[in-house]
Amino acid sequence: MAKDTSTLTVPNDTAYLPVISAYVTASAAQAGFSEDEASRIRLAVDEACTNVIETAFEPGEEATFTVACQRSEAGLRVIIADKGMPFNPAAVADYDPQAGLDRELGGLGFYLMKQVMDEVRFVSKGREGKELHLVKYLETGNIATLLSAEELQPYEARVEPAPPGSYVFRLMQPAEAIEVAKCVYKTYGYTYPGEHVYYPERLSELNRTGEQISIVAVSDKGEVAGCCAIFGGQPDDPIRELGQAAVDPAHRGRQIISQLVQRAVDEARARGMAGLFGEPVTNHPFSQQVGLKLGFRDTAILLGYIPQSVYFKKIGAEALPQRETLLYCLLPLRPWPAATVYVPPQHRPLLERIYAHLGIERQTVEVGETSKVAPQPRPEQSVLSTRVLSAINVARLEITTYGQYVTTEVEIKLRELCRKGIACVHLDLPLSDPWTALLGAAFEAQGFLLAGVLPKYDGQDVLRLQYLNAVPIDLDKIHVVSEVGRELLKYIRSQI
Amino acid sequence: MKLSTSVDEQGVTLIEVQGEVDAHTSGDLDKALGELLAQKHSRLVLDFSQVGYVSSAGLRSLLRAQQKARALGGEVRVFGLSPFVHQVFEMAGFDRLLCIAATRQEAMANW
Repeated sequence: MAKDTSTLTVPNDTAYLPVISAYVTASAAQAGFSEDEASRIRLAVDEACTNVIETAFEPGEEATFTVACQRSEAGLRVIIADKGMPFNPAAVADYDPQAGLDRELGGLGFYLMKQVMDEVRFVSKGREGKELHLVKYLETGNIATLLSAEELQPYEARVEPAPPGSYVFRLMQPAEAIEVAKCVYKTYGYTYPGEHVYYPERLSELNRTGEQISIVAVSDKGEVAGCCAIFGGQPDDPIRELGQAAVDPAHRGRQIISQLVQRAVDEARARGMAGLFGEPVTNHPFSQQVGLKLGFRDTAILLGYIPQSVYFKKIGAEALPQRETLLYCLLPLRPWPAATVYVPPQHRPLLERIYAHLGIERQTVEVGETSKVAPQPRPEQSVLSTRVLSAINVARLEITTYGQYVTTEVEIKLRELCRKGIACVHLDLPLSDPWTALLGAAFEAQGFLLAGVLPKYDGQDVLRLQYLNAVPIDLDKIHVVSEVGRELLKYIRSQI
Repeated sequence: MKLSTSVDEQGVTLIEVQGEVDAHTSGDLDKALGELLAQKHSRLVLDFSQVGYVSSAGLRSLLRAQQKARALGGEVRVFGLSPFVHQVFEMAGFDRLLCIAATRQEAMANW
C-alpha cells in the first residue's frame, strides 16, 4: 500500500495552487484516469485546497497543510489534511445552479466537488485537525464488463438445488468481491441503489477502508452462496445500514439470509456499533420477517420511496404495481443514552409506543403555553438543506434551525421541487428542538404526512414527514409484518 | 495569468485572458473588470480561447462583473471556451448567466 501513496506538504498560500494541481493531475493520470477525468479531479482538489487556505487559518498566519494521493485498483483517494480551525460541513450553504443573476455563490466550491467526485467526506481528527477525503473511482472493472452475459444471466427461480452441505458465514475476502458483485447482479439486475456493488475493485477497496463490511455465505465447495453488507455513511458512524442481501437460488430455503444477517449483526456488535438500520421493501414480507426475528423494530414508513421501474427479481411480483414503499427499521445493539424529544402532541402516543418497542429511553415533553418548556426565540434565518436523490427522484429537506419564516421557506422549496417533478419530498425535523412540537402541524397543513421517527444514538432524533407529489399509492398493496408497523400504517392512512 | 484589453470603435471592450483562472489569479481578473466597469465600460467580451482552467474563484469574478455590467445596461460575454471550461460553466449553471458565444465575431456583434 505504501508504494501507492504519496504526500505533498504545501504552505497556506494560493500561489501554491498550480503546484498542487500539477501533482494531483499527474497522480490521477498514473492511477489510470483520462485527461478529462484528471482535470475534473484537479478541480475538486483545487476547490478543497482553496477552502483550506482561505478559511482554516487566521489572516496572516503562516502554516502548511498536506495533500495525499492514494492509488488503488478501484481509483484514487485524495486526502487534504490541515490543523487549522474546525469546519462544520453542515454549515456549507446549498448552491443552486438554477438560480438567477442575484444568486449566492456560497457552497459553489463544495457543489463542484460533489459533482465531479464519487465521494466527498469530512473526517474530524479532534486536536489533530481535519481531513477531507475526495474519492474518484475508475469506470472500468464493472462486473458487466468483467464477466460474459452468460455468466450474468439472472438467477432462475427454479434451479436444481445445490447438493446439501454446510456453509460458513464470514467477512468477504478481496478475491471474493467478484463473486459478491455477481450474486447481487444476478439477484437485482442493475437496480440496486448504490452502484459500487457492481464494481469488484471498489467493493474490496470499500471493505479495506471499512466503508463497507461485506459478509458472505460460503458453501463447503468454496462457492459464494449469498451475501449481505453493512454500508453507507462513514466507518465510525454509530448507526449504519444493513442490506444488499442476495442468495443464489440453488442455495435457497436453507436459512442463508437469516444467518448472513445474524453474522452482520454480530460483526456490528463486535465493532462497537450502536445500531443497524434496514429499509426492507413492502411488496413482499420476506425481508421484514428476517429483520423482525433478529430484533429490528419498525420506526417509519417511507411511502413510494423507490420508482416502479426498479424491481427485485424473482422475489416478489414481476414488476412493481406502484412506487415501492419501504420500512425504516432499527436494531439498537447496546443501551443508548436517554434523551428528551419534543413531539407534536398529535403524534405523541404513537411515537411513545415506537420508542417503548425499540427499548430506547426518550422522554417526550410538551411545549406550549401550559407547559414549562418555552422554546428559544427564532432567528430570522432558517438553516434548511436540500438533497435531491435523483436516481430515485426523491428530495430530502432537512431543518437544523427554525427561522421566523420557516413555514414559508419550506412551502417555497416544496413547490419548487414539485415543479421539477420530484415524486416524493421528505422533511426531516429535529426532535431535540422544542419548535418541532409547535410547528409540526403547520407543515402537515401544507400536505406533509407523518412517516415516522429516525432515532439517533446521540439523541438528535429526526421526525420525518413526507409529501407525495401526485404519486398514487394504494395502501392495501403494502405488506407490513410487525404489529407496530401496522399501527403506523393505520395512522398514516388516517392522515390521508 | 495574463490580461490584455482593447476597446473597439463601438465601445465594446475585448479582454484577452491567457492562463489559468484560479483563486490565486482571479484577483487580477476581478481588478481589471472592476476598473473597466468603474469607467462605465459595460460591454465586456472575454476571450477565453487561451484559458485552460477555471475554478469557482474565476466564476465568482465573472458573476460580479455580470451583475455590475447589467446594472449599467451592458453585459459580459465569453467566447472560446475549452471543453473542460465549458463543463465547469455548465455544472455551475453559468451558461444561464453569461452569454457564451461560439466565435469572437458573434461575441463582438449585435449589442
